Amino acid sequence: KKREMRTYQVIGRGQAKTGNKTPQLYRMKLYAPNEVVAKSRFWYFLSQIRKVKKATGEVVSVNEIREKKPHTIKNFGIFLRYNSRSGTHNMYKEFRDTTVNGAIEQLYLDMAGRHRARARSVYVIKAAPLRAKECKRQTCKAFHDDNIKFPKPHTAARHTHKRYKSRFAYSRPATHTK
Amino acid sequence: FFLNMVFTKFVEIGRVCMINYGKDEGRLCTIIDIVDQNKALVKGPKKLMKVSIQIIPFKRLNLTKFKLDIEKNASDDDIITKFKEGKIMNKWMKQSVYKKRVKHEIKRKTNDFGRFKLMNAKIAKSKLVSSKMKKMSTKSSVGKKK
Repeated sequence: KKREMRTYQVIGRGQAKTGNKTPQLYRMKLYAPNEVVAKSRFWYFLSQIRKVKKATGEVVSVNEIREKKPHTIKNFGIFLRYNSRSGTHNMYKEFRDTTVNGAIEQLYLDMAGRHRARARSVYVIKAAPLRAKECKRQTCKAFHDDNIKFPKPHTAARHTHKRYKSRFAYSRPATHTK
Repeated sequence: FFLNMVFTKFVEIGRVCMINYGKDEGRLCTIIDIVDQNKALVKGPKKLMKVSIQIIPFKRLNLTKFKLDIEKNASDDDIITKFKEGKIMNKWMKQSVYKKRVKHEIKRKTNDFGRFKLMNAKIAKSKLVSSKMKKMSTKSSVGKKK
């Protein structure tokens, strides 16, 4: 089940009191599937670093941040922190995608596959687009070629629609294409 | 070296591909950028092929032998002019891959009456062939072909 991640900006503060009529505003940029989760995570993180919680505070605004140029491929460098079975670690990963949301989705899938880290154990600290020369990982740098070209050496035979999927094949398919 | 190339169709910017799965199945599109080893950024363009700009995995693409000389993230108009210059659509319709798809589509859409007509046509054809064969075999000719 792939969950579509979105970027939200949540701004919140403690409640205004007679002693403090304009409490400090705090802004967080979060990746969450919807506004409800975004607000929830906002309080989770904020109450860890400041003396404010959902019961004593208020969310001032929640805005979804859309990608400015969703049709160009970018390199994203993501700093994260995750809980493994034996401890918690920092990590830096790079992904190529058209949107930050896509890169974050890739991140969660990658962490699940490589480190068995569930989404609840992964905290994205920072995700930012990088210029080609700022990339560190070979998986991204390999695609920084203007004249990139490679064949598809192995093409598995495939049904064109789920209804044409058959359990048995009566001849061995050829995986090469001319 | 190039005469012995094993691969003739490459995943590259400008390669025209046919989408083989999903809602755009059967439509042509051009690769305008490559995301990573599994995915490419692709567009029809929408005006020409009704394929909007999207990331699509290579699994869903069948590479055709056509390649447009375009740059990374080329504009719709650029691609459309190159398509028309190269007469890609005409050439594509002559490809056996395309013709087979059309044939399969027609066959899939025939109703019971259509299948009945097909059966009659097949019987008529095989009757003609077998009567001809009989005539030839009764004649004492050795050198005649077919």
